[in-house]
Amino acid sequence: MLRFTVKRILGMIPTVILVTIFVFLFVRMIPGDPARLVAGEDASPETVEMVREQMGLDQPIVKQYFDYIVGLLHGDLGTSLKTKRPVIEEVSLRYGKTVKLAVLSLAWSVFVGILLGVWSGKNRGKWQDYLGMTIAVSGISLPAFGIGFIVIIIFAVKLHWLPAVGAASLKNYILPAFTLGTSIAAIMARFTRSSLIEVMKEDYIRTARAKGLKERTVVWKHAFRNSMISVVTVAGLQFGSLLGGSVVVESVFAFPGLGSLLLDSINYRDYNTIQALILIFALHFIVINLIVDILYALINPEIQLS
Amino acid sequence: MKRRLSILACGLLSLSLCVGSMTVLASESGRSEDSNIVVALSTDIVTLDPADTTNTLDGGIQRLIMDGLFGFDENMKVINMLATGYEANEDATEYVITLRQGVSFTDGTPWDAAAAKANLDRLSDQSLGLKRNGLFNMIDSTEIVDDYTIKVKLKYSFGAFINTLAHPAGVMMSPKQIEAGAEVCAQQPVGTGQYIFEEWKVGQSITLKLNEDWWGYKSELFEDGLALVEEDAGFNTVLFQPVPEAATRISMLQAGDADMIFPVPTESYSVLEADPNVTAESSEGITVNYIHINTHKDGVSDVRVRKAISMAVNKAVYCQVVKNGLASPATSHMGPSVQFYEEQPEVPYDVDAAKALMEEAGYGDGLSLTCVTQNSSEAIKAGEFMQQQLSLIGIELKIVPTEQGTISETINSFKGAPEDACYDLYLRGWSPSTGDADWVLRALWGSEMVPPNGSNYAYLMDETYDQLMLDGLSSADYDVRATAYSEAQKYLWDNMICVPIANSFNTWAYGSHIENVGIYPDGALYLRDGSYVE
Amino acid sequence: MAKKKKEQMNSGQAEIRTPFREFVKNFKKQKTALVAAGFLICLALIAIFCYQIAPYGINESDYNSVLQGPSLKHLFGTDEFGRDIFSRILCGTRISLSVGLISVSVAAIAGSFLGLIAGYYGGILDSIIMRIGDTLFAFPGLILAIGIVAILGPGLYNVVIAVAVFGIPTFARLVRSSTLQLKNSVYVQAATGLGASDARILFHHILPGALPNVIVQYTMSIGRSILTASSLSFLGMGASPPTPEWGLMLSNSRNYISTQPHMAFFPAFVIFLTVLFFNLLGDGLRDALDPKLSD
Repeated sequence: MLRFTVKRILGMIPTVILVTIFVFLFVRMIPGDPARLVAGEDASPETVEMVREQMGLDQPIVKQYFDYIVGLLHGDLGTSLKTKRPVIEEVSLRYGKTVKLAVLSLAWSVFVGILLGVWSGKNRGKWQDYLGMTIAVSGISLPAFGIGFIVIIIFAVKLHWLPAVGAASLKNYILPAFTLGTSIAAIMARFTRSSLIEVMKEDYIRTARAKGLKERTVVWKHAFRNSMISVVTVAGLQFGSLLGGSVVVESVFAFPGLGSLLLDSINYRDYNTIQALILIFALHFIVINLIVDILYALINPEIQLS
Repeated sequence: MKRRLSILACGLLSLSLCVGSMTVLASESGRSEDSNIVVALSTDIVTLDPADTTNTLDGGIQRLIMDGLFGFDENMKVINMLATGYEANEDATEYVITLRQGVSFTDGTPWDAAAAKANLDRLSDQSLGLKRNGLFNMIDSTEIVDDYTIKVKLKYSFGAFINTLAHPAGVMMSPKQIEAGAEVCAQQPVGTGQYIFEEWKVGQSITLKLNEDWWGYKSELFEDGLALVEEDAGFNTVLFQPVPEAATRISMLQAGDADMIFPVPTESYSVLEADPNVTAESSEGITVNYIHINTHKDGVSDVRVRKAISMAVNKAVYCQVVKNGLASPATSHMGPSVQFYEEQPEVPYDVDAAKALMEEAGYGDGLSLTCVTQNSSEAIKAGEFMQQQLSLIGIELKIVPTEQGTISETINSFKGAPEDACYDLYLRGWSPSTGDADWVLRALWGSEMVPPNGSNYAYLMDETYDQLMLDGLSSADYDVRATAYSEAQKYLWDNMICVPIANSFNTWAYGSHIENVGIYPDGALYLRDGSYVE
Repeated sequence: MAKKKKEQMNSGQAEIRTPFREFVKNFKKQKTALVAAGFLICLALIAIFCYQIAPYGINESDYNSVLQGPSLKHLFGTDEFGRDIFSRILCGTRISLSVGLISVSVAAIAGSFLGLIAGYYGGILDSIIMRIGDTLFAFPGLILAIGIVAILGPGLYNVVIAVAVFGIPTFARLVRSSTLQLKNSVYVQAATGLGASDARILFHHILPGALPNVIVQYTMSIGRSILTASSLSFLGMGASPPTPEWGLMLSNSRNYISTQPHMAFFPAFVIFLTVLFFNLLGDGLRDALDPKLSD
């Protein structure tokens, strides 16, 4: 087990290195002059050059990459080109909020998604199934900004129940968490349904039924429990993508999280912040994949051999 | 049960006592205790160091914390703030400025000639690498004449100097902060202003609290005995929150989560106007929307084609359709509130005459042009409108909505020859933040401002015009300057170097429980007179 | 993963053993999917004949009748330039469907090809392809698309490319895992033993086995790519005006959302219906193609 884990971790190193190179080149390929953007439209060329020097962008690109990597190895993510504050500070101010939003979004959507999935799955082919799946699919059929505007108009403007924007209190999280969760609930529902249908055909379910157990017990205690593995996997991967913060939802709700920071950094060509954020997202992705793999290996030792 | 009731009664009693005493306190200062307002703005705050700021909204917040030597009234006319007057020599190279007495910074440091010199030295020190140092490049040195008089020597004639000092970047900060270094200036500004900086939650909000001791409240400090504002003006705290999405800002105001929002998209203005709990206001700003024309490109290098374009675009309909009535047709290459503005003869909307001009120029069969716009929904809408209008005179317009980041490289920092620039037409507004003709006429069409040096998107390089710009700066005398700028405006209009379309209005809205808040013509917040109704 | 492996192996073998008729029989049981297929066929017809049916020209502006609500004259009302929203939506069908179909087709073809090669040859080639895939995966999808549009410039073609690139790794992974399992199946090994060429094995034996998964993923991805294109329009990086792309129409209506809700409602509704029916069709296909899910 330990060997497997170590091997997997070592195997991730090339991906991480590739990500750093890729991001580094990618942000510089996007047309745009950070020095000009920061200095302002009416800045003199001297000012722009001076700003460029301060940013270190007048250095040869290889040296810039080298400096970036040396900084990374020392745990230094660099300074934001836009605000001149350390990137780590900018990120940590928002990280907690994005995590909180991700947890809330995931919590309700997994719960609702599983219920809907089980309801559809156990009534396979009946009207409940069609209704349940149509509801679920609806959740992934509208652009997130559309859902966002609808809930703001209803719950903030018309009913005055909830605040539209910000992250001041738990109440502020409700609308964005709802919006972010709709697509995940839909994905969870579909996944739960199909894995439940699969499991329901296994022999032990038939045995359980033959034993005369109640349908509810069969569904929840036997079938559902066994379909959990794949459901947990999907939830994990969704959590990974939520941790990246949603660019669109965060900008609709003016939510001060990682997604809006990323969008803002792209607009300002704030290379250092973009690099840091993408690296963090990549690490999330890799770590979650690793955990999923290890979980699989724990459940099914056969996989270690492959 | 009984006991619980009595506790409740006690509680209520003490609560009402509290509230009562609070109202007493509040009425003493003429301000209600809960006059805490939330202002939702479209952009995030980058820095609080005025000398390092390039966006108008940050500047507006800084102007609440710090005052300049000069400032603007609500109509963009220069007024005295921390200065009480000035005298300039004939060729506008030396300015003697007298300072207001009895003022101090909120950290207790007195406002005097030494403080003024510390600030001007910082603004003009080109080695500091602050983004606004360039604006004060003309300052050679500042001398202390006496405790309340300074003499500023310039490197060359600069007739627009007082307007430059009134620019938001020219506000004065406590010498202690300057000594403490750039980081402190950027994050914990201290000034003489109506508000004191309290807290900054990065990416979320900035909070200011009222400076009850502000000099603007004290009538004894003014020669005419009239204080700058009423004694009950101001709010206990003001919290600024960045909300980039316009529809969300509107929802916040309507839901009561924000007390003031800026800007209001023109499309939503009528909704807010109809809302009884909200006041929506607008005023003509100093931003002019232009069709910049690259005068070195085939087709548009011909003055007849440029005139045809200006005749084919119906400016009044533009104001109605694109700006929802919240703009006025442009009457010169600068807005009416800018110093030295002069109205030009109207160019009538006339498709037939425009077609005839196109024919005459040899483009009767049509002409295909590339038009760059920003990628906001309003800019794209303007582009579509131009496309529709110009199609009537045979010009096929290809719109390229481009994000500001890309524009910074492909247009602002473009180093190639004018004819290789990526646009024939470029839709863009301009607002001269000094309120003076120089910062629009020279900034947009002076030959020294050709990209990458500046914003001369027309690539106009004309010696006669450049001479007019020099004349305008050669003196601090109003008439001398006015003559130069009058001729310059006429030159631009006759040659249609660029087509000015409309003067944009600033639009803002606030809850009906506050009053006297607004926006300066330059797009900065005007909260000086604001107060709570009730 | 082992479980999944077994499932995909079965599906592969089932497809080869099961005649097309079996699939049709299974698919006919999927009632919602049938409805969806019907709707999508209508949509395709609209896309083909849109300019013939549209009552008004898509760029026909009338400044005297801007922002009108739905009426008999203008079924879906008019927009900020007085253009007929109904006509624009009809003609937008062609654009939104093409964006969806072309981008996903490119992603599916490129992704399947890479997945086949990676899975079949394994070794360094596999590592390189999958590392690059992982790197792309590690980017939040929309960000990748934003970056690509920023590099290439705005416009519909570049949106298609951006959305396609963003879909490639998904297909590559999917096909790679099917390939890995089919490679060791009896009939592929038999084919190898008989001396069949690599190309023949890849395209005649392995690809058909992987196809059911690809088809399902393909259908589902169309919906997602229409949504991605509209999100790009929302962020100002989508189609250029005056293209009647649905996402662009929806995004342009955002400032009118409280005064002229019809401007947002109709584009939102057609996006919703189209994506919904693509997804329902995908669900139906999956149920019909996957023996584990069928009765």
